[in-house]
Amino acid sequence: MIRNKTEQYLKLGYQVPNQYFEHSKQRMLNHILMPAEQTTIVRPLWKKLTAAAAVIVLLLATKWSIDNYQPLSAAEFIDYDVLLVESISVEEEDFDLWFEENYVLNIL
Amino acid sequence: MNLTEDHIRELLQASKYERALTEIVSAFHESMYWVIRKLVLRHEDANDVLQNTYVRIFKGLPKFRYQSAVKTWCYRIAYNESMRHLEQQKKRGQLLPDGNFPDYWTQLCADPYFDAHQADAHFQQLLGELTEDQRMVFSMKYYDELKFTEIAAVTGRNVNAIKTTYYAAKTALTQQLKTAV
Repeated sequence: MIRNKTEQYLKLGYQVPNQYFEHSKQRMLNHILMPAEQTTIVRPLWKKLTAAAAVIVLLLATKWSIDNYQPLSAAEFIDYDVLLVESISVEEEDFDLWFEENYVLNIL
Repeated sequence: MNLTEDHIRELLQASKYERALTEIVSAFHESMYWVIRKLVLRHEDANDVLQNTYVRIFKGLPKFRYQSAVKTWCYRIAYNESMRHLEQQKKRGQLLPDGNFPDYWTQLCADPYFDAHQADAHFQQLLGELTEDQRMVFSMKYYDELKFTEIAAVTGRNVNAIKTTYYAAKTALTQQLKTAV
């Protein structure tokens, strides 16, 4: 009876692709009852080890820098302060020479 | 109730939803396709809407309340899904260059899976003269052979309103056929 119904619609001008009903039934059922399996990304072991090693190195470097931190003494702070104030009064064309004499050569 | 209906109900009562869906697809696939196709007109759209209908049916099976036939319930979901599709289509504004929404016949002819030269295709032109509502009710009654009560259940409307719409459609078509002859 259903087949007759489809033929009735075909006479009205409606068309369907060849064997549409035969194929679409199973395709639509599969789409609902067997959804595509979720793909799991497998990362190689060496990548995990490299990441772990990088974290450990970063932690050790941070610890070392904290242990070896030496704050500036009060005298050093004053020297910097003087240098910065003096730099304001230096003419622009003399600045390179002043910077080299007072900062590069004397301090570093 | 027929055997298929009874069998699907038994599966639902046993909470075998996957089996029930397989039975529904097996029993109503073609008829549901045609219910949808007559509403959305294009084959590709009907294919998408039918797929979505099955997804909704599957999700809704555990909530089926046995108040109507499974077939009517499935048709109702197919009808709602088709209406939703048509609403979205209108919102997307697939309009003609003159700014109007394409009429029934223009939409039919735009579908590569419609043969306007088919023997009875000119009847579609006559159907195109009906209102959207009349066309839908007439098709459900005349082609899908649904009862007035079933059409009312599918569309969620009053049985008397459906009867009135059907007779108005039938009268209009008869007059058009007489004029054509």
